[in-house]
Amino acid sequence: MKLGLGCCLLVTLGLISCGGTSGSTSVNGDNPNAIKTAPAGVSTLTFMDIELVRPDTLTGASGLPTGVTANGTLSPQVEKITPEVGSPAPNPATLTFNNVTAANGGVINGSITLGWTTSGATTTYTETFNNLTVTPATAVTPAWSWVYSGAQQIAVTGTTAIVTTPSVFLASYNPNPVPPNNSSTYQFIISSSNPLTVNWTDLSAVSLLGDYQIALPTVFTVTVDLSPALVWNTQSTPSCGYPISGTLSLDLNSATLGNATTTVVFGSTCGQMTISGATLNLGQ
Amino acid sequence: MRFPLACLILVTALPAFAQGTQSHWYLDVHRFTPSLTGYFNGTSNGEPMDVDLQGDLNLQKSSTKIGFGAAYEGTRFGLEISRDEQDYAGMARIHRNITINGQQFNANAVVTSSFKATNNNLNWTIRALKWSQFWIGLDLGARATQVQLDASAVEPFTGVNATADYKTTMPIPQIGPAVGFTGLNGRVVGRASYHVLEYKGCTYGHTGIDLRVFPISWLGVMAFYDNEHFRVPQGSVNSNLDALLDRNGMGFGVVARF
Repeated sequence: MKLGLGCCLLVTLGLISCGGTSGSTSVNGDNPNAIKTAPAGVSTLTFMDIELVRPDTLTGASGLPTGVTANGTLSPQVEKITPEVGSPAPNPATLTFNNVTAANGGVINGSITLGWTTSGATTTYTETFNNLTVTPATAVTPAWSWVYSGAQQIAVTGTTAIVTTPSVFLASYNPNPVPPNNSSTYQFIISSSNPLTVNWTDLSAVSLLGDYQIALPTVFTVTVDLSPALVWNTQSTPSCGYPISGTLSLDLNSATLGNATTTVVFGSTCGQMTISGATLNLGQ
Repeated sequence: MRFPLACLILVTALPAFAQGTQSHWYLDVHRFTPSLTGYFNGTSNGEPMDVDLQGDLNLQKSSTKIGFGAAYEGTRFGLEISRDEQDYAGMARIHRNITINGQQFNANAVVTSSFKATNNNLNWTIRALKWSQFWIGLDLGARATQVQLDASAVEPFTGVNATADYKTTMPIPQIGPAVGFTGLNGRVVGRASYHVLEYKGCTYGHTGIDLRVFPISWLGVMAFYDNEHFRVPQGSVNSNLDALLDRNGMGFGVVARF
């Protein structure tokens, strides 16, 4: 009897010593299309497309030739608009996009009209997007598209710039051009009270700070804070059109989706970012 | 400390004076499908937890594996081992942010989850007082419950697929009174027990009722009721975790006696 009691207690103590807790977690971007079309992805990728022509590249605009053409994949030719020496530019000039790689891996076609006025030390550029269109790089079904239309103003003083959207800037997404043609039209907003600010005093650390919003009226608003600043290194990685550091803090406000936050972190590998911990490669 | 020890020694010695009856071995297969409720809130293993198994994940009974048990019921003591396993599954659009093992799932995500509970039981019953058809005793044993919670969801805000799993083993001593009876010339055998444990603010209660009917002397059917309540308040054994697990249900099976 006592032996049985002892054995039972020993077994009990043995079981107790076996107790433990473990677990694991993971996030993955195994469905990049789901990320690209979710509110956070839309807020990030449309921003990268709309700000593709960086303000620091506009300073030579007074010498822009007519019909600057950006061909092929994303390259410094898009971000760095180099005027042809001795060619007086008309005002406005036209930036033509011909199959330029978009942030979501599609191709950008269309044009931006670029006009400017100078007042004292400040030159204010107005970029008007003339239905700049993003379509899949190769034929897919359904043939989705993004269309950007609207204007943003860039006031350049020395090596700094302030970027705002003076009127409603629209980014329309059409997942299927075939009827029922259920497109969604997002509003891209950079307010004058909290604009984007650009500084390229140090060309190895061109920085972009500030806030912007992407809103799908009646559905959601995503407010994005660039902090720490997005940084481009135009000297060591001149061929990289994407930030090599910086964070977007996204804040979702939605009656239907609820409220949520997430972060997009840009890594030192060109075009690589993580969104909620999952990796997404821009331009792919 | 001395009083419970004295009681234990007394109860252990009492079977020496108990009346003896015939001993039996029992082998059974059974199916047990209890309901499940509970939550985890706080920090476990250094990772945040905040999830309600029903309110958030809507876990429902999914499948039950056949459990088995073996028991020796002697004149002075009984010894049982048993094992059963249940699976629960859930799919729900969550209405608040939840966290499983540090992985947060934001509100409105459609979370697919599963919960697996495996129970291994060992119980030694000291039949302290025994009459011809009735006995009163004390259960001494242990129950190791292993639970595994898995969840995955595509975040509606980010489109990112997030997964998390949480696995814990809870070995719980089973100590408490037990009673049993035999009737109709051994054609009906029943027992009931209540195991209770309180430790550093944690409370555990386990009620079991088991009834076996033998139309044939060596083969019978069994039905049992099992209720288990496990509460770990914040600041008890785990200073940062508040947890509750409740399981409640009926089981049925076939039992052989020899």
